[in-house]
Amino acid sequence: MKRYELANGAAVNVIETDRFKSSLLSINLAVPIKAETAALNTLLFCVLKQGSANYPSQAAINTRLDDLYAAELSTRNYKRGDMQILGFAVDFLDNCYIPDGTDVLGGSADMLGELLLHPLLDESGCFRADLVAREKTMLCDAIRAQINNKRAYAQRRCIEEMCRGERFALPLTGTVEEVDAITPKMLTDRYYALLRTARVEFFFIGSTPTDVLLPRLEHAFAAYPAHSVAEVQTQVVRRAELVREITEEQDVAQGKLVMGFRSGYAVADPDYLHFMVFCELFGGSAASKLFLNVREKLSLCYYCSADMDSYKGLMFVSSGVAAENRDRAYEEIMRQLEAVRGGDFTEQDLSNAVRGLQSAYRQLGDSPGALESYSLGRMLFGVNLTAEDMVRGFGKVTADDVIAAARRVSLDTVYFMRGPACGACPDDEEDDDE
Amino acid sequence: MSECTVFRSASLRETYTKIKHKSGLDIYVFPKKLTTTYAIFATRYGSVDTRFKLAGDADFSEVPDGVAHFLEHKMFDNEDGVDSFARFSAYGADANAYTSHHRTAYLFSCTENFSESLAELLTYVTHPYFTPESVAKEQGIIGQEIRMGDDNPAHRRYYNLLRALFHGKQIYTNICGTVESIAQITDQILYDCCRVFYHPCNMALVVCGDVTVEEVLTIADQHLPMREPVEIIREYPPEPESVYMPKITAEMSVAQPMFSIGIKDPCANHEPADRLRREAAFSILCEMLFNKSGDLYNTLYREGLLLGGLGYGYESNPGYAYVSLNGNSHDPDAVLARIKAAIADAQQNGLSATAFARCKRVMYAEFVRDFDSTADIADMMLDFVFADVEPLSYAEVLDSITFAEVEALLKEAFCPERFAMSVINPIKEG
Repeated sequence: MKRYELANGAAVNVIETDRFKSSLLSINLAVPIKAETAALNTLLFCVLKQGSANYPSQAAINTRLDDLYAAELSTRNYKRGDMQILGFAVDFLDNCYIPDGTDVLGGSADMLGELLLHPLLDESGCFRADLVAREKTMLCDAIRAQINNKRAYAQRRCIEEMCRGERFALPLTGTVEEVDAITPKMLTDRYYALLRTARVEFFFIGSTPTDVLLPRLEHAFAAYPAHSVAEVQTQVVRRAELVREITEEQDVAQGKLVMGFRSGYAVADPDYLHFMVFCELFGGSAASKLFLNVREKLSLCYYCSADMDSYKGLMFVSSGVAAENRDRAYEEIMRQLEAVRGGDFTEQDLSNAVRGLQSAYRQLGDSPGALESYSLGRMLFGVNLTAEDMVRGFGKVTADDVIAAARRVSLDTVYFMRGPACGACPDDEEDDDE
Repeated sequence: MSECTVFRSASLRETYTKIKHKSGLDIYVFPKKLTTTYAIFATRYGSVDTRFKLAGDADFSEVPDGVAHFLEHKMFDNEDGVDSFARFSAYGADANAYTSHHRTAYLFSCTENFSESLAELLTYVTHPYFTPESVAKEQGIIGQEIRMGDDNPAHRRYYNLLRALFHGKQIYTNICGTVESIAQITDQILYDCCRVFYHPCNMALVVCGDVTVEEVLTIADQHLPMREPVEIIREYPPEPESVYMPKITAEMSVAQPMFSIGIKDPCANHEPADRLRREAAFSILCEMLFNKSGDLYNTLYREGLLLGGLGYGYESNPGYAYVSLNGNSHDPDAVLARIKAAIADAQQNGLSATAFARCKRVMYAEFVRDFDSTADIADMMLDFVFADVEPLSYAEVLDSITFAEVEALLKEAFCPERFAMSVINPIKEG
């Protein structure tokens, strides 16, 4: 990967490759997650993609993208540690597959510049009130619709409870009340402030040489204002103090158990890979401890797996179990953790975990999206390991390293969503509604 | 001896080889210079295949719902007690499997030990081993898989749409079966279904990655059992042209109503080439009517009738086909009425030739893009070969679809009595 700088100071990261028939171009703005700006940022990008000065409607934007041989536009809005990453990406076909010579690279770059830098404003220089009102309604409906996916909702609730008081706990969409309170003036002010303060990272993954690419980007983003960036430190809590248990009732046929752990590691730690190998061995695959025991041996569930948020230093174990089996599943998960802590795993288990991770990291180069996501994340956290470095690093992790990692993780919060309890049995619920 | 044929597309810059293997299996090797190699081994056997026999058998067998999916779970068990997931894991390969209405597929992706992994794939899928105990254990796991689906409103909406559109029970029944139906499954039923459907001549293997025909053939020769060809006779009840019911609703814990509109296409029993052409024409037509550049979507969104996107697609299967449109709305009936009105308007006033050209271009670009991942390529190859058509030719088929053809399809296919809608409503208070 090579790094360049545009005249306005924005960084352009280029991975030149001819492996793909399409290219990926993205602009990413990184800002700290804050209660007073998260929802504004989210709504801002909803409004920006409704139209620009030269493409004043969604229909006009999408027609233009279709004419660029179905260039695919996507909006970014996600967390990387305590940072909110916002932006646009566009994926487009390589020139050699364009029969009529349409300049899809130039057109796609211009479209990103249009959307971000030439918004559709009214006479007073504010975002149009009708668009803001409509997008507020849409966003509020989307916030309410989060309940539709029970498994994701359970995971979100676990994070909210576990990281309460940390920036990471804030929902990027804000709450319905916060969104309702936004005015076009507030949104416009936020727009200019965001451009002035966000760290800007472009990514390009494709075959176009940089002497063609960079002038196109300079042209498309010439209007980007001067900006100064504040560093964002992600708060990593290394150890849980005491375990909190939360049970909530929803109309579900199957209970959703989410156990949130503090991993004890931050992504920039030199021994971070020890934790990754532990997590893979514990619950990362169909050969893992959790899968083989909670599912295969006890047949308590269809899924039981561990995954991590590297940037925030968290690990989650999730499982869908019948409400009456909640305790059995919980106990078995903890028993398996104790087993790994006690060194009760084979050389084969370790080598399976290492090989699984090595394979996953070798595969990064086959997906522009995965490569970009990895590179951006590690760059924001000052980690200089390439995917190849990771592959080599996994191979050096020993059984003792895994045991040490297992001993370092600490259970923080146990969230359980269950179906309506029967009237006869008063429940041990510890409801913690906001 | 095995017989090889090479297929090439100059415009896509892709080539693959089809091998008629001596075991009866069709093997497709698609070389691609990426790091990940992906292999998928599939049988033409899905949840709809509940009544069948082999030519020569006296009677039809009838099995409980959910056997194909149950088999998919149990194929990973081996007589020596080591499950195949563990073996793949030791090779560093990532294995998985899935079952659909018409297919059961076993797959892996890897970046090393390809030959060992392929050998394992071909071996475990052709060597069933079931016991009453292992069957009983799986009933608990699949029971939870069914419950997980019950909590998923999109899942319920999908099956309810099938229920509304189709009369045939096999089409609208959950692919996993029900807790009651899987309780009837025995190891003997699994063996019987395996004998019929897991026969090389009913299967296909697709490999995509940095591999050669010789590498794949060497493994296939060593690990595929030679068996006498068989003829499978499946029995499906004929599907009437009419929909079963125009609307079906359910209540779940969702924030706003979720809808799925289906338009039944009764002309599904054509020759493979005609079906492919019809599918291409339907794809272009749906893109013209429903895409994000068009009037219909933009009006619905602007007026707040649609909350977010409108998903759409044409699904074509042996014996049945339909268009589906999915979204969220506070008023699904109004959305349906507007969609019907927009279609009637287009039927009366014609389509736009400019939009036709644009949407053809979109479909072409999306097809080309599918060739950027070994998994996408292999999955797509399998879709085409199980539909008995040649995959690379799809670009030309798309290109050959005429405006007149699409206009004719619009008039013929979208009649009001072929519409049905499935709605998941929020639970009423109190």
